[in-house]
Amino acid sequence: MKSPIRNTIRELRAARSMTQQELADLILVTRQTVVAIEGDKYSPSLEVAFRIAALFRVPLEQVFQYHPAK
Amino acid sequence: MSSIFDTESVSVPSDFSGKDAVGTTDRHRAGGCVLRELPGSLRAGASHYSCAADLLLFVFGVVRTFVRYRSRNVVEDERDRSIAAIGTRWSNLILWLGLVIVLVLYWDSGSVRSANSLIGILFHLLVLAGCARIVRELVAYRMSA
Repeated sequence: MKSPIRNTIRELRAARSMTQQELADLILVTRQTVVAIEGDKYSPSLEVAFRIAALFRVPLEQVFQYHPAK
Repeated sequence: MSSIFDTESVSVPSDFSGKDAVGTTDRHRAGGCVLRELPGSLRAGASHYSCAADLLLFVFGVVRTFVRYRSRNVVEDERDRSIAAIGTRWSNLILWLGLVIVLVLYWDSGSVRSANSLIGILFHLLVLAGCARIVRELVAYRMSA
């Protein structure tokens, strides 16, 4: 089931040549969680979301966008 | 400066892993008490059924903990925690429903006649709750993978 929250983590990660495991280690989650977040299958907590935005040095809304189901 | 809302004791950890560790320690302590008291209870002529049930629960908990650590199925991050919470919710639901059904059987028709059958029902209820938890966690992992 897809989450209504979309994200650009994959693009941000690719722009920095960062692997999923490296990102997972930096934001203190497992690689499986990064996979789930990138696939829009899991919405992270606010804390992890802020950690990701801070890591990529971009505003939160550039990483996550809310698209409610119509 | 401490807030007036800081009512939680300092010794109680606030994060999940801390509470989990405290819970595990308490469980092992309880298991140790059971093992310590069991021979005495048997000698004193206490109900063998209750001793067997205590021992069974203790062995069940030890085996479950061992298998979990051996298979590296440990809670690591927030997604694991949320999935574990879903599994626990289902397990508790099954347990409570089962207990209510057992009580209704006992109260209404008296069909639970002996302690032996009651322990059998409770044991199967525990197994069922454990299975429900595992299946629900697997489904949740599958859905969010």
